[in-house]
Amino acid sequence: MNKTTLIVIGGLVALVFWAIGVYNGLVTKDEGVKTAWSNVETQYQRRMDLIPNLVNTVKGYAAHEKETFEAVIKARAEATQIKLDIDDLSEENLAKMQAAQSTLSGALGRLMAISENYPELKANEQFRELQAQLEGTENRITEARRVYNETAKEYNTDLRVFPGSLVANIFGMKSHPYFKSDEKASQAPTVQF
Amino acid sequence: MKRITYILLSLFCAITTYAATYKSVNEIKMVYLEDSTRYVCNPDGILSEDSVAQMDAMIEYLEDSTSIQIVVVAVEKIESGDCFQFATDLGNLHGIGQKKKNNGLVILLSTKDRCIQFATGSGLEGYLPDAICKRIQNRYMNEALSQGLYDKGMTAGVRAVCGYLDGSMKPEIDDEGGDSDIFMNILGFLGLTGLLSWYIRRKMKKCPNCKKIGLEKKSCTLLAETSTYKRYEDVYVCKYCGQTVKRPYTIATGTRSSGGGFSGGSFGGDISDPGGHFGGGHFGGGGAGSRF
Repeated sequence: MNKTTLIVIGGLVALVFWAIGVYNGLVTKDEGVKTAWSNVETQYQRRMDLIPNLVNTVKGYAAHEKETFEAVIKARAEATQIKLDIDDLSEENLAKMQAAQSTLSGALGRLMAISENYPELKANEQFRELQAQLEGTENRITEARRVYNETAKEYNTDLRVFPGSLVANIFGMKSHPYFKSDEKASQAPTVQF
Repeated sequence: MKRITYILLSLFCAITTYAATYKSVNEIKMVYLEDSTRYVCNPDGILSEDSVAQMDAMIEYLEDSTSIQIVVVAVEKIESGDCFQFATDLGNLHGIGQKKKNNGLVILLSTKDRCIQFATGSGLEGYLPDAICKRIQNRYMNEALSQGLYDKGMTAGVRAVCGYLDGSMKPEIDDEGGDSDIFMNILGFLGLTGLLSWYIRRKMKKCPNCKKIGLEKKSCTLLAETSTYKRYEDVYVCKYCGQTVKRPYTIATGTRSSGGGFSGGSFGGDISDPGGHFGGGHFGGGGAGSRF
């Protein structure tokens, strides 16, 4: 084995190790995105869990606002249908999910708005606490989406820059879509006392 | 004359309507990092020294008894007007709260934006739920704040929070299993040192002639001496082959053969370093806010 062969082999080994390093880095960041995504789903789920209680509380004081209740319940049912795994998170699927959640936000907003007309409801301690919980959940959703977008951006960037793009092509790694800012429901449903 | 008065008047108006506006969370200076007994950041002088001292005392007690880290920030205006995001980002930037427990709390008051926000660390959300945050704000803070009685509102709020969180958790040392860790580290270190010194001594006894470990020290003579150093020569003889080896060396006068010891550091809070450290806690968007 002459010197040149040794050098070539050494170079190849180094290359392999380097490629492994790049791959591992990408995988680690991908896992970060997965975690961030599951956090987003958790917070959306948290909001869905709050809704039945909220609807029942409002019904206790404003029983004949049927349309509003039905809108909320329907929107919630549709949003529940869309369960997305990180693997089937394509641009379209995410857009669909975001749209469904946006519709739900709108319906919830109207629900909270009608409480304005029912002073007894507004004063009800349970309603106020549910309202606080809803606001808190909306904040958590915002934060979770922000963190997801950040981690997705890091991963996507690494995927596109030079060493990453090679490894990504070999292993078929794809970039993750982003949450777009909601044009319509830009504010959490809050009610001024 | 009239013109000058007009200019001065408009300048005066401009100055009085100017509110210290904060764009980024980096701009808020954390007093806790310089003095671990101070938790209230009051850059615009909104709160009186008296109420700052009161709040500092209550929060210090809470940190000592539960390890919960609270930071209070009172500013005039936030550029984005988004008190929730600002408070949460502030908590994440500095890592307020303990790393494993994530039990930090940021209380943000913005007087011109008219908002009060509690941002709870992700581990504190169970102990201080959103609804309770809102309740505290409604019951103790919002009315006073809306009337411009910032001292009254903030102190009442901090008192309520500390009262609520009192006794909620214990300030354990964060690294559980840290005890056995340190022990193993010391053991390993001693073992390595022992191994190293054994190896070196063995090497020194190796005879250059017959390659066996047989050198024995026969004599040690002082060759020369000055005010700063002494020069010795050791003579070794190999017990297998009779080879003589001479090893001259120099020692500076006044040194001792063993090395100096190491001084350990402390985790902050003593005389030399009065500043505090945030534990590295994380904020997930919990808490509640009110507009007054």
